[in-house]
Amino acid sequence: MTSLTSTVPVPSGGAQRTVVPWAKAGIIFKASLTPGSAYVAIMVTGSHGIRMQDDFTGDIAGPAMRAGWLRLVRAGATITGYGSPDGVRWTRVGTVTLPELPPTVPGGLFATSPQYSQTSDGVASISGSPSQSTAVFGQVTLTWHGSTWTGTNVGGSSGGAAGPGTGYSRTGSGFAITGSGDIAPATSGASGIGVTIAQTLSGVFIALIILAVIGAMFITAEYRRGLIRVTLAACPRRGQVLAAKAAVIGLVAFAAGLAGASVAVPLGQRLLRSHGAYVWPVTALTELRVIVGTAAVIALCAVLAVAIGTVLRRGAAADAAVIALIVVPYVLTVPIPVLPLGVADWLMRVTPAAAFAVEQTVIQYPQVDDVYAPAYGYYPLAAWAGFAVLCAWVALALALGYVTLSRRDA
Amino acid sequence: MIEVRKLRKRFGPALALDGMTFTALPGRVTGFAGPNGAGKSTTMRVILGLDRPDSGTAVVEGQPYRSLEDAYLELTRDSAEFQETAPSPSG
Repeated sequence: MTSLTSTVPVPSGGAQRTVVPWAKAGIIFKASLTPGSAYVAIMVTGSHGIRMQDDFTGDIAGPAMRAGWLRLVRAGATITGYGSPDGVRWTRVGTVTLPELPPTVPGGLFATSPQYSQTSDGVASISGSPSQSTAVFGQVTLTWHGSTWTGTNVGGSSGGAAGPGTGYSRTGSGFAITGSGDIAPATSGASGIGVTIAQTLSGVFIALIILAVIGAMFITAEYRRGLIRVTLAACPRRGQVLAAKAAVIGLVAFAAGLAGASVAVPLGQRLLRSHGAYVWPVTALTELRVIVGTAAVIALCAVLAVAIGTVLRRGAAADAAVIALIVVPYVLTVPIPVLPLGVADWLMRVTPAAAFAVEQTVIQYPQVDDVYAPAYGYYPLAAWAGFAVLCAWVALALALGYVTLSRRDA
Repeated sequence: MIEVRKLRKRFGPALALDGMTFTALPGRVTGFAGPNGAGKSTTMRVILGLDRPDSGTAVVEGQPYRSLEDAYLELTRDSAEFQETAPSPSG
């Protein structure tokens, strides 16, 4: 590997040289030339050094070099990759076991260049285009008797610009290979394809607004009419009053959320698919987690409204607080993604809206360049961690509600 | 039996109760009269645990009202005071 250079198209026409971090070129063994078949490869990348990757999701980091010597050694199902700056001193990058690889495999040189995307603000302003990378292999000798080199564009040219310019040419003792597209796991998102089942639940925020109003009214209406004094005279243990109200609204909201999500998720998927959208498939268990998790988020949001209503005692103020805490961060991050990604990411970590991570169904791969935004189903926290953030908010609000309700004159 | 001892309660500049003390015995009709602003309602609210006195105590059947297990049952079981002390919605 002598060099790896990448270009992206510019709006005015032509191409601009740039660094595509996950452009890759190197040696590959692949079960067949069919996209999706098993493979193992050792490669130089745009800015992530030498890597050894296998079967789409495997990724092992090697020495940080932008050019150098690569070696892939196969012994049965065990393949070991090496990198070297000079062809003399070799560093073992990694060893993988790939039983799916047939006894005889095509082996060769490859170059890939993933979709390139960038954003200055929110997801709404993402721009991207296919990139193209050229790898120069300086010295290539074939010692396998009876073999010759052939060149193939593997995969479709659905990326648009992938067609022209890609291919290979001989350069003295080696090759120059130009590629576009990627050998990597598919992702949702700006550089990826499809939508997640969370898309079917983007209307949940409307339910949240309604339940925030009902939840807050559960206690603020009593303050407004002075009924709270009758309630507290009949049930003097104030903690019990708050706990009972929270339990009732929580269970009712959970049941309503469960009913809504149980219909919306399967129906929404059918609608999306019937209109030609690619919806990321999930297991039944994951779908159940998304449905039950969303119902639990709705329930806890209603409890949060009761707790905040207890502290503030005014319906409008409590509604505003709940909507500002959970609905606004969610809406501006997922259904209408206008916030800068850094802000969106931060909001989805610290606000109660972090709990929408229960709708996470896709995996973020560090070795795949993409805009991993909540709008595409990538939440910064794991499902349980995001849910725990909401639980912490609810616990804090209930504690504050209990203290204020107990101390204050009714 | 309702026992009120040295209740003191201030609302901002207004001193509503200052050393209010009395005992209402069970089985008797006890009147509770006074001019506007004398502190009748405040006393009732303190007895019912709705307002927290600045100092002093008010106990019903020997216990603060707020610690009664089930206020309604305990009060209607053997005394008639509850009807007299039931708060009106407007306080």
